[in-house]
This record gives sequence, structure tokens and C-alpha cells, in this order.
Amino acid sequence: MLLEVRDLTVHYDSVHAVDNISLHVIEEEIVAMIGPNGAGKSTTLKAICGLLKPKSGKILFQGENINGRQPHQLVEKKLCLVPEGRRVFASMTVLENLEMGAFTINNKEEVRDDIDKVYGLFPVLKERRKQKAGTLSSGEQQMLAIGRALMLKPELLLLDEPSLGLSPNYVDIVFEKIKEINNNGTTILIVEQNARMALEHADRGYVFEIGKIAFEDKAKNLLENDEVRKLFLGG
Amino acid sequence: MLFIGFGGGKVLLQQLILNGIIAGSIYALIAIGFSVIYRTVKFFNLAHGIVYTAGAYFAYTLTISLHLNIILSFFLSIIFAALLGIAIDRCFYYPLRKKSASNMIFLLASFGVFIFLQNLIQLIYGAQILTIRTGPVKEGHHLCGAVITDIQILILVVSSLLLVILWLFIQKSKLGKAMRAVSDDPIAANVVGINPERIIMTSFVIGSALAGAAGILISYETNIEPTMGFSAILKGIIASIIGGIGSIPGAVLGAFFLGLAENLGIWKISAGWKDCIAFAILIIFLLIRPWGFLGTKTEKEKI
Repeated sequence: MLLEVRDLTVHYDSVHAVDNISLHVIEEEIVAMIGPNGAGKSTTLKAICGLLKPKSGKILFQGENINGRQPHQLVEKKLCLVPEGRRVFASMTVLENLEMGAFTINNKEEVRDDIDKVYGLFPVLKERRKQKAGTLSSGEQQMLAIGRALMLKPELLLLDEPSLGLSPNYVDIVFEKIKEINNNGTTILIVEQNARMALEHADRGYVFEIGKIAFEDKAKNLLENDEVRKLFLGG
Repeated sequence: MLFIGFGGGKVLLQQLILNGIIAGSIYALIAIGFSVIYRTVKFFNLAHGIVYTAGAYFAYTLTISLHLNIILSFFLSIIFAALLGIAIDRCFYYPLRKKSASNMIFLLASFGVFIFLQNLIQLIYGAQILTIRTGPVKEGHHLCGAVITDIQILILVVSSLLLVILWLFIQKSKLGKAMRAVSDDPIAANVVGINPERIIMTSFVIGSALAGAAGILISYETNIEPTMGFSAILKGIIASIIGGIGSIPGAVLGAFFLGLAENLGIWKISAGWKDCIAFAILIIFLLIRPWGFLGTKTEKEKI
């Protein structure tokens, strides 16, 4: 098991708290966390990657308790986040953004190879490599944010709302790429409001409801579950 | 701030332009140091002014009291200024960061640090003016109808050199790029593996070294006193704001604009109005173009 969250409680603000939840991610899976706004999906993800301090509970990554570690420490363990809202370095070029993704890697040749790999996955980033990231479209920025996280060669990639604010066309592309990244051997944990899209691409899913996990099952089963369909998939 | 003998009525304009450039290069060192720190911590570090004062007093102590070679004392003083910057951050700002204090608290704390260290310097050295200059004043060189002294040439050369080195560092080096990344988005920087504390420390080292260098250079040119940092930090802040807060090229532009405006302003009116000109420019900018020459409009909300 790559990631195991046991009895996690996080108090963020009253709306975004999560209470005593447990979940796990197995190697090479895509796991989706879905549910309405404010149900605590993002809070859980932020606690896993170290942006929020949990009140109690255990977060085990490769068997090691990482509860309370800072994000830059978790990067060294190959646990990386693509934050909500993309958060590219707007005043820096596309190439510099990717270089910053490799901040912790000192081997220059390795970094160059990895940049080429990211360009291979997202050819548009190569075309725009000298452009300031702030001038990219939101779809391109999302690709850059994912590419930047891939520079760290993560074991576990956390994606926070990757389709938020993207045109439908880009939503399709981003999910295709997520599948491709997963096929190359990266485990993925994803928080997504677009529940149908997420479940169609995931292996398993957790359905959040006001700070609790309401359902967990294979993604395929959740898509067919009447209650889940009625609540989150529009009937 | 800088006083030079005028060569006569006709050359007054050239002389004032030259004085403006020299004042501008000192302001630029202060303003850039201030901006480098502002970009990572996002508050106005008023204690920056006392690092400038301390630079001058370090130079005085090493050169006059300890009779060290002037070049050695220059570099040692810069190192001490950088260390003072780190110490200020570690002792005062770091505990506040741990408590997630608001920017207003940081601003007040930095003012407190400024007053505390200014009084400490006064306690040690006394309130009277001191001077590093030894020997008779040499006559300056004639340049395009203006007079420039050896020390002023030194100020221009050293400050330009420091600006170029800093620019290359920020644009090309990995650590410099990481500083830009933190300035753009500290959370994104953190999730790609950049330790924010390391970048904050780097920015205090660089910013304080530049402020120290400005203080040392000015101590060769004019007398020093414990209160010299106050007007220096005000000018640094004005230059940063009119240049565009957080923009490094903006800080340089703002500094030279301020230096020239102050000095050309006294062409027609008395020199006592210099500070008045500086603040008038600040007010005009805040009213008409609060994001400055090169700042972005979103930055103006942070002022």
C-alpha cells in the first residue's frame, strides 16, 4: 500500500473540516475523491501533502508516518501536489517553471532529459517554452502545473481540482493525460468536482459528504450506484 | 545628502545631474535591498534602514578604530551587515512568522527593531557625527563640465557592479530563480520542494548586504551619525514605490528618478527642499499611478 490515511481529523474552518476519515491508495491506482463543495476533499488532500496540519490521525506514505511534515520535505519522498487553481509562477517562463519543478534535483543532464519528457507529453509547452506562464490559457497553465510536478518524478501525484475553470475541450485533454501519466507508472490521487469525469478515469473512488466518507467502491460501481448517481452525477 | 563644490553658474546643471546620479546609485542599493526582502516576506522592512547605518559604523570601526586595510574592512563590513540582516530576521521576524502575524504587526516590529538598534548604536558610539575620511580633501576630476571626486567614482563603479551581479544572480542562478518563484507564489514554490525559510534567509543576506554596501560607500563620502538610516530607508521606500513595489528594475529606475528629481529640483529652489521634493513625488505617484513605473496593477493593492 502506497498511502494509508487512518482516522484523520482536520479542522480548517468550520465548513472545510474533515472528521475521522480513513482511506488508502494502492500502487499504480488512480483514486478519485468526489463530493460537493465544502465536503472536505481538498482539505484531506492538503493535509496529505503537508499544506494543512491534521488535528489527529495518521498519514502513512510507504509505511512511514508523514503527519505534520512540510510540503518541501514530502517532495523529497516523491509525494507531489498539483495545487488547486494551477498556481504557476506567472512572471517566469514556461521553461523556468519546469526548472523550478526540478529545484530539488541537482543533476543538470537529468533535468534536461526530464524537461524533454514533459515536452513529449505536452508538446504545447515546448512551443511556449519562452513565454511567461501568466500569459498562457488556463488549460495550458494546467498542463504546465502538471508538467512541473512531473519534474519531481513522483511516486504519488496529488491533483487538486484539475478541471476547475477549464474549457470542456481541455477537461478531456487533461484527463487523457492523467491516464497516460498513470500508465507510465505514477500512482494518482485526485480531487475533482466533475464527478463523472473523475470516476470514468479512476480505478476506485471515495464519495465525501460533510466531512465524512459516505461511499467507497470501485469507480465502475460508483458510476452505477443509484444513490451516488442521484446525488452527484445528475441522475 | 551629498555635497559637492559647484564649478560656477554655467556648469551647475551638469553638476546637479551628476549629483543626482550619485545619489540615485546609493538610493538604488537601498531600494533594491528593500525590494529583494519585500518580494519574499511581503511586508515593509523598516529595519532595513538600520542595516544601512550599521554598514557605515562597521566600516568606521574596522577602518578607524581597528586600522584595518580599507578594502578588507569594506568586505568585512558587508559580511557583518548581511549577518545583522539574518540576526534581525531570526530574532524578531521568524517567531512572528511562526505565529502567522499580520503584515501590520511585522511593520510595527520592524520599526521597533529600527529604533532599538539606532539607540544601541547611539549608546555605543555617541550621538555626534563621525568621519572616516582621513587626510586632506583632494580636488575632483573634471567631467563634462562637472566635478567628480575619486570617492564618487568609486560609489558609481561599486554600485553598478553590485546591481549587475544581483541581476545576473536573480535571472540566471537556481537560487535566484527560486527567489522569483517564492515571490510569484510561495505555496506553489513550497510544493515543488523549495524551503521558504531558506529563501527568506537568502533574501535577508542579499538585501542586507546591499544596504550595508550603501552605508559603507556613503561613509567614505560624508559624515556618519546614528540617525542617518531614517531618511535613507524613506528614500529607499519612495524609490521602490515609484518604481513599482517588488520590481527590481523598477527600484533602480525609481532610485535614479528620485535622485535626479531631488537634485534638479534644487536648481531653482533652496537645497533645504530636497526631502519635500521626494515626498511630493511619492504623493503624486500614489494618487496617479500607485503601482509605479514597472509594477503591475495587482501589486498596488498590497501597498
